[in-house]
Amino acid sequence: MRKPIIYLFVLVLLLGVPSGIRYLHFYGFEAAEREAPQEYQPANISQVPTPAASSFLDEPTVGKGFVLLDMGHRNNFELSDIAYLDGRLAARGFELINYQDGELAAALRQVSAFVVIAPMDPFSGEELQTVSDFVGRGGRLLLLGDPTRFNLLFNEEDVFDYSYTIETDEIPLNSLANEFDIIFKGDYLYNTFENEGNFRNIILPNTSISDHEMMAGLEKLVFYGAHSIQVGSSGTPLLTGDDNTWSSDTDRAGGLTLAASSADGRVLALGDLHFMMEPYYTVYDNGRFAAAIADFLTETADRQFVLADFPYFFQRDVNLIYTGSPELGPDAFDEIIALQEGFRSIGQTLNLAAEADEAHDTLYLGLYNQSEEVTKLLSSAGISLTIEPPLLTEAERAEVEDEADEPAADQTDTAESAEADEAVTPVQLIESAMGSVRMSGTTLILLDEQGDQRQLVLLAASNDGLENSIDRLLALLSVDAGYGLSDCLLQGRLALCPSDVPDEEVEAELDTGNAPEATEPEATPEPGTGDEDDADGAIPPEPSGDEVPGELQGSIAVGETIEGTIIEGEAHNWLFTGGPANIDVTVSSGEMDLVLQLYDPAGELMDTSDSGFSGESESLLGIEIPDDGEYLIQVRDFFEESGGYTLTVSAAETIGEATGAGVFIFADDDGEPLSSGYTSLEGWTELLGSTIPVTTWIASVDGPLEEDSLTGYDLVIWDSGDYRDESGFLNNDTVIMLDYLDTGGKLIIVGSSPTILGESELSTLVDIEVAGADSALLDGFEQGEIVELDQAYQAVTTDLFDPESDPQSTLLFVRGPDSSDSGSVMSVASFDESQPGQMTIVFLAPLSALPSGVQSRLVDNFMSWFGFGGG
Amino acid sequence: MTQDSNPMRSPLRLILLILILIGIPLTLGLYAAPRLVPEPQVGLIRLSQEITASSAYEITEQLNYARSDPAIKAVVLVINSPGGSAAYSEELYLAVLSARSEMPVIATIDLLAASGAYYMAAAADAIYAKPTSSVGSIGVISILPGDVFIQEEELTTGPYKAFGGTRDGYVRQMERAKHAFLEAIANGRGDRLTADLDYLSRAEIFTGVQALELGLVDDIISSDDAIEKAAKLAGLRNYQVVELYPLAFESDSGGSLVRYQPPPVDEQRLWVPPSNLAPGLYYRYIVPAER
Repeated sequence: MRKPIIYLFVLVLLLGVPSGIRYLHFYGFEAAEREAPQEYQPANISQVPTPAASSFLDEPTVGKGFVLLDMGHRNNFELSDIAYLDGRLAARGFELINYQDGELAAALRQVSAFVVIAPMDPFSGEELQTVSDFVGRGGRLLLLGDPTRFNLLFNEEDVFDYSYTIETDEIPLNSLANEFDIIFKGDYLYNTFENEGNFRNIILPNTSISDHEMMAGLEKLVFYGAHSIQVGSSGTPLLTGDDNTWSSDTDRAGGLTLAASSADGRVLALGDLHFMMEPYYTVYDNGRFAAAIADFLTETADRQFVLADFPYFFQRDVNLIYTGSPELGPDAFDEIIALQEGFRSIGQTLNLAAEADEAHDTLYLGLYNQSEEVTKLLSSAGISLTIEPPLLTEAERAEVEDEADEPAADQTDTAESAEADEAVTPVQLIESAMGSVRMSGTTLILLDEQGDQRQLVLLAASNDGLENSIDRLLALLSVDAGYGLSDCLLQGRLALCPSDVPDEEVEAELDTGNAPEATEPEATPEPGTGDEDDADGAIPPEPSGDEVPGELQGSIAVGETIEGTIIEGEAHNWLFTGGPANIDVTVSSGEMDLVLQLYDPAGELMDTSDSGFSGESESLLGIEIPDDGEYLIQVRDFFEESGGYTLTVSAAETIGEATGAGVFIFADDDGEPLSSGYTSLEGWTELLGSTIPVTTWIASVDGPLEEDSLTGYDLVIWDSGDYRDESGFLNNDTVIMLDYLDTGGKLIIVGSSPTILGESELSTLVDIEVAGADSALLDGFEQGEIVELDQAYQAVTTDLFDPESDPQSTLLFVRGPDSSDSGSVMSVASFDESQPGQMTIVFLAPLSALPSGVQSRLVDNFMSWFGFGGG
Repeated sequence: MTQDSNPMRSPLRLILLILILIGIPLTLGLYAAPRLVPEPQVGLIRLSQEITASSAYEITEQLNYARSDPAIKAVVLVINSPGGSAAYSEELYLAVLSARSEMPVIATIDLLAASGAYYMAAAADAIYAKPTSSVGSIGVISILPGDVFIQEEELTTGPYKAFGGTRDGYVRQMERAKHAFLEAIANGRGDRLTADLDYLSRAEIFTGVQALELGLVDDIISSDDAIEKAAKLAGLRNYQVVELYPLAFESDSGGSLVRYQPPPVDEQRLWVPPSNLAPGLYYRYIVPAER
């Protein structure tokens, strides 16, 4: 029994030994201990909760106004992103308007606040100054950055280069924010400990919210991806992250600001845009905060307006009042209609009224001599008007004469008194904080603000001055208008502007009837009637005759500069015998209000210059002295004060007013004549008169224009008369003209077939019709008025000029009913916003084809439009 | 009296008998030994690309093979991957956990084990890396769905049938997935994880040394040492290292085992971001933009 067991054992042993040896070879006696993993139960991870929607109900105070939204710096957002804010603004009666290009200063005039969101282009120095001024005058500025708003910039030159750089809003925002001691960081904030569904959604509990007035009522906010904001010592943090809020820039936590305001509370900087987007504005108090921002943007209590903000500072319907209650004529109606249209175009209302009332804002228009209604407003601004001796209106003079007729014994005395009055040098001054300024040539514009009521006073010396000043205001109406007061003396809310009326006289009363044209013969004006200055350019009464008042000081020649000193009441005369010559005479003084006059050998006043204020120089430029006679140059102080002066006589530069080299007339007569072959060169030179320096160039005599022929000229008149040159843009003159325009030039293109229009079709033109309504360019014309030409002309017809589709063009004339292509455009005026100063008038007929009165009126209007103050 | 006439007693017969009695069992034992005690193997599974449906299938098949082959006593995951699809990353995590319940599974990181790749590694018994291996990026990435809308001609029976859900809901799903990811890491690493989960949720990429400090890896050793660790964990003295890919796939197609060479790691491909991210959640590291 034992043996089989042994055999079996041996058998098993023999069978198992190889395996055992093998096992021992491969395996150790004990495997290392392994830790069992914990049970993995992802289902136990709880859902991240969604905050309950806020039950905030906005109850705004309804006002009226605009908020400007920057869209001009490649702002990286969609309007839908701010739909909720827009709605809150609308609930407050405020409209969000876009700024894309143009002059920022002009766009800011009408708004209570400026909103800048994620710009990609920085603000220029000029824009920065503009915004800074805006905020300084109580405007609100909202700066919104957002780290999710960036652009990827690829190498466009290499399509296989997939690398890119990231363009963010950091630098563009800071170009503006730094001005207000606020710096946007380029980071994003995160909180991995406690957030609203994502690390970048920063929860801001009440401990993170400052007790600033604007943050009242806010208990909890969430920002969904935010920059941090560094606030300078003058700024105020409004929202600050907790100690678990980190910055991606520094990877440090704590003390990070997400919203801040400037020291004066007028600038609000926010590091996130999303919190006011849908649906995030419904979270916690985000909607309430967006409403508070809308309140901030629509707050106008601090908003201070300046004159250049016309007419946007009017917050209510406006009453238009003519001071002195004059009888209004057609000219006034033109003004009123133009103003009303302008007001209407910007959503405001202007009504003609006899008296001011507290329910309306007021626009006063009038003459200095008829400004009783505004005396109080003027004196509250420290302004007084002095007119000595008093100027009597026609009614007042009649009254005086009636009184004088009654006691016959007093006639002699009255006559003597009148003579005495005439002998007294008239004093017609505006006295203000800016000193004393002559009324003549000066327009006064004053903005008065009492509580909510705003009143604008516009006073001029003459009706023409008033018209020009109203044109100045009309130019300000456009949101894109440049400052129309840039040539004025501006101080606070007072502006003293040139009236652009040469040798303007102070008129006694406003005559807005059918004012006689300057060229029309006029009945002998009676002093004080106000009629005497209706002719533009009339020389004011000055001493004349053989004896020129003043002391002869010596002689002066071309190229000489002489210094002199005037004793109080003195006038210095200097003898000039260096003619014939074309001279410039300039006198300057540090303190005196100089008057410079030139008398011919007969003692007649040839020219006078008295356009500047105290301390400014006076010049007579381009004076042609025809012979070697004895001419007197007189220098005196307007107020007969004493002081030193420097008088210079020099050879005239080509021509030139103070602003440039005058007018260049190019008679383009080297084409084929369509009729008798003529240009209107003679007519132009006659109509422009002696007050504007004129240079002429006749193509058939002087050849084609040279590259620098037009350099420096204020205006170029390209008159092709009835000549036709079909070379169009290939023509050398055309190229030079276009180059001139590109530099901001002013150009009149006039003729039957201007060269620039090349081979345009011709058709018969016998009359033209006034089709436009521009109050300046068509002053003196009535819409629908037909003007017959002196003969039938073959003139071009073109559809190039379509004022309806070109907002920068103004329609003037169309072809008349008896002409071919009746109703098609034949004259437009246009300007190019992208080229400051560039202005063009096209008139597709010879100027000389018009009746002389029409020519005169038209040239006057054109020259006024170009800023020459009449031809 | 008995006569010794037993033929077995002849010397020759005795020798034959001994040979039969000893030799046959011994021969049988020698024959059976390799089958009864096969040479243990440490299987190598290589993840050398992003985690996709395809790569996840290959890994899980190899793990299944390892579990079915009694010779495979341990598995070493050699990782070079930026992660990838969230669901497939989770699939790999769960597959590794299953394998780990049967044999040691070791992860060794060469260049990169980011996001979903680390998710998978976290299920292993141990994770090893090189000093400058890139480890981490623990988190979720996705493209938010667009705004919802309804169309006149396309009718659905639910407000989000055409979109899957709201943007806000999607954000919260992502956050929940992030928490699940972190939870998986915590489970896999257990007490060895010294880093705070909030800190890990920053989703940074760490070097191997940093990862060691944070408890994301167990040691800084070479891949050979990692294999040694796997063998030791499996209690092996002598073993064979085998690539599991050809065993799991090429043997079926009659391929030659001798000729198999694991494909080289395409480093460039590891770092190149996808040209577009299809809808869905990803545990993936995406190289940031050049600045």
